[in-house]
Amino acid sequence: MQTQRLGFIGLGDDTVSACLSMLKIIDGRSSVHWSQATPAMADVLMVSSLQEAQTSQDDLSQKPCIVIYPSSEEKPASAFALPHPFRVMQLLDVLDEVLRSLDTSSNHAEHNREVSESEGNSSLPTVDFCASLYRVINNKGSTELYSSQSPEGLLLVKPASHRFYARPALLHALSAGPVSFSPLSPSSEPVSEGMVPRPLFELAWLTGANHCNALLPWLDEDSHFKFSRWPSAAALNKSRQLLSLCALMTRRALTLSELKTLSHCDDKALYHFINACEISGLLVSQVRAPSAIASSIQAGAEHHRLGGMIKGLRTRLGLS
Amino acid sequence: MTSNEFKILFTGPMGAGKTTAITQLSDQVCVSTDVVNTDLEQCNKEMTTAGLDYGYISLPDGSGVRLYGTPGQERFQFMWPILANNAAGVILLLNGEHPDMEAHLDLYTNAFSNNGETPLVIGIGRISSDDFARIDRVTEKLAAKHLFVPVISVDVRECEDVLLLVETLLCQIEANEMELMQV
Repeated sequence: MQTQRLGFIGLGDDTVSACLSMLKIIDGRSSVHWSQATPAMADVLMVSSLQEAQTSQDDLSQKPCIVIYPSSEEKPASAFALPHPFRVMQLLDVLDEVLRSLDTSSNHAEHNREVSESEGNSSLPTVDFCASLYRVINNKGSTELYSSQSPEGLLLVKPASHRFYARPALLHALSAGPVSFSPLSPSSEPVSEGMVPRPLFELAWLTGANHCNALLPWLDEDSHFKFSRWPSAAALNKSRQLLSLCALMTRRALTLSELKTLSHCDDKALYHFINACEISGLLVSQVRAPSAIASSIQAGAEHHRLGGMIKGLRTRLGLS
Repeated sequence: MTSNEFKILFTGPMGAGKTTAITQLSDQVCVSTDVVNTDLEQCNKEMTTAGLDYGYISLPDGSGVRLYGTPGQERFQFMWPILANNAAGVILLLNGEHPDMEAHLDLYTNAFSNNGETPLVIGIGRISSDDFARIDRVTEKLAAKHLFVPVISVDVRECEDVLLLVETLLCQIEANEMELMQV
């Protein structure tokens, strides 16, 4: 496997460390191996948006630059940009883009990757669909319509209108269990009569349900997970367990074990939830040193000042 | 308010359904300060709340939950901080048919979210239940302001929908309490 060197300019230690951790995660999925180098020795630079102007004036300006900008700000007008906090799939996407611009044989590498994946694990065609769905949902507007084939029929996805289309037989099969889909690709296929529009989060939710035995391959079990926004209320299906998970994950980044302790969810429900939210582009995952907050939060959860009254109110309103 | 009570605040513009939602939950007849609506341009309804709405839910252990509704007209904004004081959480109701819904969203989240510290749930009424794109747009707009708030399509005439708002708020209050305990 080819190695490319990545140099960092103007980024904090935490940011560099988070990026290096994610590079480890994507090592098997990217077409090249990425290693850290000094900016002078690097093939590609990651530059803080605050340093971008200065970098473009010095000798390093010949190298491809990925501008790192806070996710709360507008995307800068540079060829390659990545919001911070990082997301694994966004990092992978931007690195792939840079590779293509470097004129490396990305098609060849992509082909090799697909071959090695399909040889290595029989469940990966579905994982590939997951990854393609993630990309489609999180790059809304790049193409109007995407399609995927399955033995049960055609699936069309319109990210801009937050909908997918399928015939009732396919919808039924999807609800009943795993369906093998080809990766989504741009399509000009018309939405034919008899196809039913459904919300896109439902597809993400059902796809996540087919991966409830482990996290999606690009997610790290040791990561801390936080929401970038609330999931669709309809996806949560009025489940208190899921509502609690959402409330917790919008307040702070938590590990899987912390989430399990706090929400009392079993592994399957938790994996399903995390995977579905990741596919929907709602998660921010950060690799950090483990903390001991779960036990202390748990202690707090049982004794917080409104706990008794909330329990009483739920009983009174028939919400228990 | 005594130590064995807590307060839930309902807020939102005129005609969003605050009085109806409180009436759905309250044990006793909701205390309303309704007057004849002279602002028919804002909302075409006969009566509107001028002071506050008040309801109460008695709990089996003798404690209770106070339900307050803010007046819908913006000229009564001076009441908002008074009613928001010590609220455990806020339910913001919006009228999805109103042309200024997004302006209302900004106005009320700025006034009541306390920069995301106060547990908040948003219920949008009078929109099609399958208008997912619209709900998503509101959620994204809030996320851009660092407000990670649930947005739910509701019909406050349906008790189930009001209960969903309350349950979602309670989950947030619990998470908030855990956070406070941690601090």
